[in-house]
Parts: sequence; C-alpha cells; structure tokens
Amino acid sequence: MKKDKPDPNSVKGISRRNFLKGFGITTVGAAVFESGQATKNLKAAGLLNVSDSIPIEGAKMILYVNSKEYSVHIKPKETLAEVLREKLELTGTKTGCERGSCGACTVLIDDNPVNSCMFLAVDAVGKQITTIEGVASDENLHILQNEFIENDALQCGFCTPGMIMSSLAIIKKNPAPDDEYIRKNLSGNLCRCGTYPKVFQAVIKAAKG
Amino acid sequence: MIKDFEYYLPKATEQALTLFSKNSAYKAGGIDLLDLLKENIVSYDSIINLSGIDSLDFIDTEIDLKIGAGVSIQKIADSQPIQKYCPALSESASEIATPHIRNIATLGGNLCQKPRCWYFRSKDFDCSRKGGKVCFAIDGENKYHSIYGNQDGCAFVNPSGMATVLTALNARLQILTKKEIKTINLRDFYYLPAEKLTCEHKLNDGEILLSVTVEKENLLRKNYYCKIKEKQSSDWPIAEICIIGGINSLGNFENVSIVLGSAAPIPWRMIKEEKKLEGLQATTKYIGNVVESSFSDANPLRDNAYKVKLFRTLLYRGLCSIAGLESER
Repeated sequence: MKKDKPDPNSVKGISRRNFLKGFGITTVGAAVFESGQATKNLKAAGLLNVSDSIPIEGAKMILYVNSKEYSVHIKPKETLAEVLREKLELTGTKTGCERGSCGACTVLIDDNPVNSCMFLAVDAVGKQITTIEGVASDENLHILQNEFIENDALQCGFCTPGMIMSSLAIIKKNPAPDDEYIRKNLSGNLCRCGTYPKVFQAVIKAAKG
Repeated sequence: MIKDFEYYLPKATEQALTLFSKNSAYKAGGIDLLDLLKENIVSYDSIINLSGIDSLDFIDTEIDLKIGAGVSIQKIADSQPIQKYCPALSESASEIATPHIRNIATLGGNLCQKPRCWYFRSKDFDCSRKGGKVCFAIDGENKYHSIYGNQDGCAFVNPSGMATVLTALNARLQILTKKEIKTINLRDFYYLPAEKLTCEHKLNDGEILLSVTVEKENLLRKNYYCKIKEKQSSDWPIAEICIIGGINSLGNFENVSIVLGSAAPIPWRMIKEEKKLEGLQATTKYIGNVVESSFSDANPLRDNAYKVKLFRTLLYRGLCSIAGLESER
C-alpha cells in the first residue's frame, strides 16, 4: 500500500486492531492476577459463591486461563469464546461458524478439547482453560507449533489455533497416535484450505518428539 | 443475539426441581440449547444447569446397565463395560458429532435434542413444528428428511444416535417429577407428528431425566450398528441401523430387534420384519427374502428415495452380521 493513501483500517493513526484493544481495556477491565491472588480478593469481597445463581446482568467471577487467574464480569448468556476474545483479549482463539461445527474456537477445558463458542463462560468457572496463548512457554514455541511451521501445516492460518489445541489434546492423551487416531480426533476441526495431510504429518512428528 | 437469562447451578436434583419456574429451561452440556438460543428459536428467563449435579453422572453395571443422563457421550464411547456388554452403544457414541461435542454433550441431551430439520432451525420459517400451519420439508428440500411417519404434517427425523441403539435394547428412562420418579419405556417416549406436532417426547417441562436402564437380559446379545454419513469424518447420519438379536441352537433367528435411525420422527422399529425373522433359518437366502419384501410401506419424499436403498443394504448386512454370515452386499 502506498504511504500517501489512508489506511482503511486506521482512524487518525490508530489501527483498527489497536483501537479495539484499547476499547477493551478501558471499558471492560478484566484483571489478571498471578495464581491465588484473585481468589483471595473475591473471597474478601464475599463474591466467591456467586456461581450458584447469577443474575441477568452478570457478576464478577474468576476464570483460570493458561495458569493465570482472570477476574472478569460475565453475563450468563456470554460464551467462553466471547469472553476470551472480547474481555480477556485472548484473540488467538478464533470464532468461525459459531455453532460448534468448525473447531476454530477450540480450547482445552481440563485437557479436553471443546468448542468455546458453544460453551457458556459461566460453565468454565473453576475449570482449567488452555488457549493457544498458553501453548508456548516463554519465548519457546511448543513442539507442535514448530512442527506446524516445519511441515507447512497451514495456509490462511485461521483454523490453526484450533488445530493446535486439538492436536495438543491428542498428544497429551496418546503419545504414539496413528493416522486413524489423529484423523478421528481432528474431525472437529475444519480447514477450508484443505491442509489436512500436512496437519496430520505435523502431529505425528510432534508426538515422536 | 441471545436474550439475557438468569443462571442457576444447583447441586442436587431436588434443588433443581424447585428452581424451575414458568419460562425456565434445564441444560446439561447445553450444545443443542445454545444452538436454539443463538438461532432465536427459543428464549428463556432462566436456565438451570444440571451439570453440577454429581448424581446424574455415573455408569453402573452391577445388575443391569444404568447410565446417568448427565454422562458425556465421550464417556459412553470410552466405557469398557459398555464396549463389552453393548458394543453398538459405544460404537454409536463414538460416531456422534465431533470429539469436541462428545466431550460436552450428554446422554440426556442427545435423547431430548430438538429436530435438525433446516426449516425448523430457521426462524424465518414458521413451520408446523414451531406452531405454524405448513411443513416446508414435505414439498421442499427434503433430502435429509423422513421416509416413515411423514404424512401427518411434519417430516423431520429423530436426530438421536443414542435413541436408535437404546430403542433396540428396549431401554427404560427414569424421570424425576415433583411427585415421583416415573419410568417410561424408550419405545413409548417419542411422539409421532400424528400424536403431537410441536413436542417430540414425553419429558415435560420441569421434569428431569435421571437415567437410562438396559436390562441384563438385553446385554451381551449380538449387536450390529452402522451409521452412513455423507462425509467420511464427523457428520449427521443419513441412514442408521441397530440390530440386537440372537441365533438359537438350531441356527434360527431369535428375539431380533431392528431399529432405523434418520428414517422417521421416532426411532423406527421394523416390527413386521422382526416377526418374519422369528424362528427363521439364518441363511443369506432367507435374509435376502426378508429384505426384498421390506420397505414397501415406506413413503419417500421427492429427494430422499435413496434412503430406502441404503436401509435395504444396511438391513441385509446387519442380519448377515448377526447370523455370522459373510454379506454379499
């Protein structure tokens, strides 16, 4: 794009992405705590038993995501995908079909892959949630991520976070998965570019270490 | 946009009963409910989540096979006793939807889900099942619709893979009402459109499905289950069959129970064929004769006559499998 043309995604020098990010921070204000602190704060405020009944307008509660505690206001009707993306700013989780068919929104709940678009955020309270942001450790990519790169297992990349999450569940459960096992357990993830063979290859290589 | 609702997480079934009010809904996994809420087919003032109730999540094989309504489909697929005592049930469970959905969806939800008919699932079609006057499927796009029970103003197919197998196994349901725990035979649980047009089953508002029981005598019999899909990976069935039965010491069929899925608004029992098979010598010739004379009473619609062919093949293969014969089809 030429420099003199205005960026359609930019308003007065603010890119659309940064604008949305800023908006999220100022209006929603989810707080991240190191493990334990948020629970203490909520206990002190007498809010911990709130999950037994939650009013229409929602309530503040704690989500455990990628080994961190997030204190966040959740309405009963909000899905986990919405809360992760729009309130916690964990936008690595993608929403595609919004009906549990495509798997782009796959996250792990207690190590099992689920469609976060078909999962109420309030139902995730008290459970361990892992999103694509929690797969790499510090600066090091997870072996699965490396094998996806090495094996060229993505084209447009939209399905990739979901593919990685389902693949992670596969290698956690089965250290030596065969092709059939991988196909069956990735059957909830659609790739419109059709990169399946390379994804299967990447998972087999990652499992072998 | 989903309409706002209140949310409850009871810890016991009795508490869940008292929380139910006029415009409430129970949910377990919530997959079907969320789908309906997102499409604005339903809306509720309060939703009561039953998945915090531990007493709904069990598989008991001590006398009969008893499965809590809150057990996930994946747990049913993985259960070793179920794989041993009724392999058709674990096979069916492992074929349902995707791994993601199987981890969340429950037995109770699978049995009670609403029709998958695309006219029913679209708010823009005021179809007979939603209280309107017309079934758009009968004269419309009906490739995935019913070939039986479709002459009374609605042509959806029962979407429950668990129901196909559990009907063949003659399972019973235990249902908690405000007054009692009642038992309903799964074979009597679903309504045909002729009986009730806007309601699929006998679980009334405010009642909780507790468990499903298969009696001991129906376990460890010969099982056959097959689901035909358009896609090789996860998909809804276009035709499904479960046959439970036996062969006696003379080599004759005995107590055979045949149920078709994705054929009718209820799990469709082939009672006539069951009777013909009783005491019949289990040879490919006799099986062929029974299959040839079957399905003459089906009523395929414009786009789904292919199902009759599929079901014929499935019936032939299934009966051969029960008889321990090589299928030629």
